[in-house]
Amino acid sequence: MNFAEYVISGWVLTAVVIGAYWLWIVQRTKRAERTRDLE
Amino acid sequence: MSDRLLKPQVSKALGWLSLAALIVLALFGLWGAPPDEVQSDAQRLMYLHVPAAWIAYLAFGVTALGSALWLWPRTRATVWDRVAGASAELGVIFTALTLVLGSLWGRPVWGVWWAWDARLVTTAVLFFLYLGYLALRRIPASPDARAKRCAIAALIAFVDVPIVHFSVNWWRTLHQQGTVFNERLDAKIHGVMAFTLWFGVLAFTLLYAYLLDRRYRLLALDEDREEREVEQAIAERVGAVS
Repeated sequence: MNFAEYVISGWVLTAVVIGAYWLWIVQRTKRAERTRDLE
Repeated sequence: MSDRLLKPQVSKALGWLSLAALIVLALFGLWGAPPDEVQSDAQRLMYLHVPAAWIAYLAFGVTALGSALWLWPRTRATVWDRVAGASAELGVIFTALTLVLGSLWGRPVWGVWWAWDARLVTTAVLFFLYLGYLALRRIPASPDARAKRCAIAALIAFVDVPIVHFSVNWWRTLHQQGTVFNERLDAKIHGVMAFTLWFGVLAFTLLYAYLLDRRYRLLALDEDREEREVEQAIAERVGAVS
């Protein structure tokens, strides 16, 4: 593949950003639900 | 008042569907679609760059709609403020992705990471406008006061969206004109490449709907907690006085 470093960087970066954002939402939601249930 | 946009089962199904669509997109984008005649494999970044830009438009459009519905007295409801806030955050993330992916694509094709091109500059302005909107949402205020000023800010910021879109027609600079939605509405992409591009738009739209629902839920939980904390503080103050 030509320009592989740019293409792969773009695809990996997109996957990492979306994955990290999804994980952040899931973890914060779980924490918020736990706190609410404890009160 | 509901603290969810979608039923949990629907949200879960949408999440799995988005993941499956993204995997199929990666297979087509990296292997299935042929390399471009002129740009070779660098053009494979288009299958992410264009859908990300589409989601940025969609997200800011939903933010503007939610803001307008909140400002209109007959439709005013907390749900619209939350939808606007959740969608704006997604819009900022996808605008950032659009800029970075465009930069990664521009380097091998244009020879530069960045150019003071109309499309690039207006997109960067869009990013900072909505970053400011998100900062505005974090300034402490009563829920109504915050929702009102954020709704007005969102509607003002949305003016930049059509400017970004039409910038390539209004100013002829480095960025290419629209491949599909150009002045003549004459799509300059066909076959597997067109399919992959449209599939990318579909996959990212599914992902946006899923993430919007999840982010909305988190916003609702956070606002609920803030409300309980205020009530608790008031109760403690009243108890201390009496």
